[in-house]
Amino acid sequence: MPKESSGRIELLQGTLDMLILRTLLFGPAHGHQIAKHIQRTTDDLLQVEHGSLYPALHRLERKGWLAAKWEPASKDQKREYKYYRLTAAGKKQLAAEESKWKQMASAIARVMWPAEEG
Amino acid sequence: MFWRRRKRREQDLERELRSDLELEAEEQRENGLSPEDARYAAQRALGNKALLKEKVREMWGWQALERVEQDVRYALRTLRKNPMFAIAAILILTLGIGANSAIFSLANAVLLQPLPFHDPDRLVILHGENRQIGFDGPASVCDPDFLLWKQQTQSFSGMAAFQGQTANMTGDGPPERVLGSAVTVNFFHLLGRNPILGRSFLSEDAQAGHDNVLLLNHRLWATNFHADRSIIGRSVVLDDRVFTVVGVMPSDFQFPNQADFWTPLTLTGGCSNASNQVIARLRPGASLGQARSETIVISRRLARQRHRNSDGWETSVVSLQEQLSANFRPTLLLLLSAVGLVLLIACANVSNLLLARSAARRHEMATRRALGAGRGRIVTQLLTESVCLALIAGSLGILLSFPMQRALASLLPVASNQPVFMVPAIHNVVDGRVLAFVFVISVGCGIFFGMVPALQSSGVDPYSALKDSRAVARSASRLPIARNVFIVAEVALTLILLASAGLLARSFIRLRTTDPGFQPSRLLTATLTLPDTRYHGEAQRLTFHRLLLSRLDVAPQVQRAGTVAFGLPFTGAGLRGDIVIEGQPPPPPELIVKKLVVSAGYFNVMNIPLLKGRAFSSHDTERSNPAVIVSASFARQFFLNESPVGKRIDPGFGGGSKFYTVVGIVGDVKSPGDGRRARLAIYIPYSQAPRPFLQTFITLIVRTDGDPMRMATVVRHAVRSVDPEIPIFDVASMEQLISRSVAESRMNTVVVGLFAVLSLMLATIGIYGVVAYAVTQRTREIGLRIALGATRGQVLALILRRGLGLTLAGVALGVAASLVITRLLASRLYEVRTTDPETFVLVALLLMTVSLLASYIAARRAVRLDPMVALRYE
Repeated sequence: MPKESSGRIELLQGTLDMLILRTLLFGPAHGHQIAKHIQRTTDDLLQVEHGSLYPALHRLERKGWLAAKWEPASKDQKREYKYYRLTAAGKKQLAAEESKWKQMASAIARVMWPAEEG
Repeated sequence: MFWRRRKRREQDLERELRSDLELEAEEQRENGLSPEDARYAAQRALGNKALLKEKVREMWGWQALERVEQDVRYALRTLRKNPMFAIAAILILTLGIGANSAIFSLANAVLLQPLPFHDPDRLVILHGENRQIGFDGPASVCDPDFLLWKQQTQSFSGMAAFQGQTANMTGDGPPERVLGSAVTVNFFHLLGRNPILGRSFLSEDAQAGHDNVLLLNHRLWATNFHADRSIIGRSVVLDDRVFTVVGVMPSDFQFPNQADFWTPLTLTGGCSNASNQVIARLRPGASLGQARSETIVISRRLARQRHRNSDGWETSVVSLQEQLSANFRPTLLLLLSAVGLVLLIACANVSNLLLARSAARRHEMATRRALGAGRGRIVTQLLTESVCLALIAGSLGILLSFPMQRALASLLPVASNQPVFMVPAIHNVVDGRVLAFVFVISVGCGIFFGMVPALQSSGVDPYSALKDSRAVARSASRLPIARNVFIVAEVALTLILLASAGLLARSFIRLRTTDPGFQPSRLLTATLTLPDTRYHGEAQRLTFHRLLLSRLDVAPQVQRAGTVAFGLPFTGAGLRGDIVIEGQPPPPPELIVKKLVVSAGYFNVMNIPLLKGRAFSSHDTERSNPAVIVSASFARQFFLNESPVGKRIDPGFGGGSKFYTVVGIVGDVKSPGDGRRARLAIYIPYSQAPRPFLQTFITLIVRTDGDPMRMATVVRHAVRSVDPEIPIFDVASMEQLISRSVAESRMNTVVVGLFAVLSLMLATIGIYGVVAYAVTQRTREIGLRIALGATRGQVLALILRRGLGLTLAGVALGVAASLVITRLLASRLYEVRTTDPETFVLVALLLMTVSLLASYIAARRAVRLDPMVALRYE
């Protein structure tokens, strides 16, 4: 079973927020979809624990970066899901976090592989 | 509103998680699992749902509030389930918090209630201190000095002088003695209070010839003038002078000294008479510190200008509130500390109860931890429980404090005996400040006594605790370490209180049983003053004095009568100061000599023994050779083994030196209220008093056949038969004066004593609890010992040793602490050292006996154990 794969990576502190925001850039999604999307995109390398995902979603919502609404699912009109959608503030936040992330990644890279840089 | 929104969110979250669960299960089914396996897999993926929800709630931000609500509800449920524990803990805490709330209410009334003046925090009093002679009080300033003070100081926006005065008010009814104050005309403006009727003083009222105007206080207006609103413009006769009433002050204004009336003060005197007290208001922006340093500088300059000896004197300013509460502050501090100790002991006791209970709740805590509760979460929850307990006790404590306050008020020393200013009226009020205090100490106590048990309980290892229930009992034996520490602390604190109470009680007994040096029973005292207007000549005063005494001597049921001025024992009254002994250097200033002016028969009336020479007689007249009699201590102090008879002394009342020849020595009069040094005394006959004021103020002393208070009318009639316009006041029996003089000591003894008894009870309960718990813990061991042949005595000794060991440790610690702490009592003790060994031995023995008894009662169960039952005991 994929869940037991040993190659899982613990999410870095704070990166889950960014991943959620990035995922929602494609359009509104509910919690389960967000988790699956991150998992699939990373070939199951990143596992999103429910215990972290939902608190994160509610936190982002409280900060005003996400807005949530119960809506019927597109394929099955009888069931409703809580869809999260990026707000304008959320988009700005995503941009900020992305540039911060890039800076940090390049900084780490310069330390780790100085020759390649040169 | 808030709760509804929360509920919707809660449902929302549940629905969100459920739909996730369904989707996950669907997916797993698509992966080929059976529906049941798929559901389990989905639930595994979701993890601990309760914990997840908790985490999400945290994100909502009202988690803290909601947790508190949840914890409080749970705490109350737990307490209800265990009523015996709850009642015991609440009872103990109620006593502790109630006592604290009562004492704090008193402190609140005395120290913290704002004075009834405009912006009272900015008011200061000119204050004098002289360490050499032990003076610490309001400075006395002469008229020219006051004017200089007013000119030269920069820190004040206003400065007023006042001096206390008394007068005989005569009119339609019988003459009455009234207290008042002469004040500079800006006095009321400075304090920011206006009359409710008429006007305040104007600047022209201070001019000589225009100063016969008067402001009445509300009380005098209501009782003597029937609150007549047309009083303005009417005349009142005080000491034969006619005053015109110009206004009436509001009822809460009685400053200074519970004044009944105010007259304008004319500042025309010289510097021989320094009788003004000075009050000032700090200028906006000026600090008390600035004002203080400024006054110190100016007072030094003034002393230089006036060529006055300012040795040891330091003049500065203190806040009015501080000055007014100065008399009472040490007592309050003592009571607050004592009651604080009681609360600490109560807390230690409840901590112990909680620790005992935490052993029983180990399983519960282990289960909670196993279910994912963090240690911090459990500690918070347990603390909520203890704070709930404390708050319940706090509310009950406030109720309990009402009767306590009433009892306390009945023990308070009589305010009228305070020579300095007014003592603020003591209202027993529970105001916002008291409520806030009780709330804060309740919460503080809850956290304080709950912390150790909470940390202990939450530290449980869920694995071992749940696996093996016997492990609970076994590892629980670790807990008594904390319990023992609490017991030792309790015993030590109790010893401090017992030792303090013991010292105070000894001091009180000393006060009551010290031989005063005269016979106080069946003595009536009453005071009168002769107005200057009719008694300005010495002949008139002497005639009045002689006539009055001869009338009293023949009055029914009167044995003997005499008079004394300014030195009635047990009243703290007395004139002291600069005497000169011929041929000797001036006595050091710390030696205080009391100077009394007495009638010829005074020693006879009081039964003060004549030790040498002769007493005064009718032959000592204004024309005969001036005679003085000294006390035995005085003779010893200044003449050693020599006989003082024939030596000459200038009593130094001012107004030129005049030497008196010593004619006799009388026994010491010990009046503890005056302090130890007051035994140095000299007596001058009334007929030879060097200054008029020594003859116009007269205290009558009458030895009667029966109950002296019944004789008050006889004395009043005798006075009236000589002069119908003269009232007598301060009528009291000598026994009453003695009782009043020890009132403060009595209050300290009773209150601290009660606190000590209370803490002894608490400590006893604590020791009993620990020993009883130990017996339960060691039931199997004891059973085994008995089965193996240990005698009952051996078992008893084994158990008792534990209780006694704890007590001994506590007593040792307590004695060590007391030896330091009781030093603070030194000023409250009379002829008892703060390290009095008898008291310490006695209270240590008492404490050990009581704790042994408590241990014994707890240990009896162990002795009675049936070994067969005990061995099977689990």
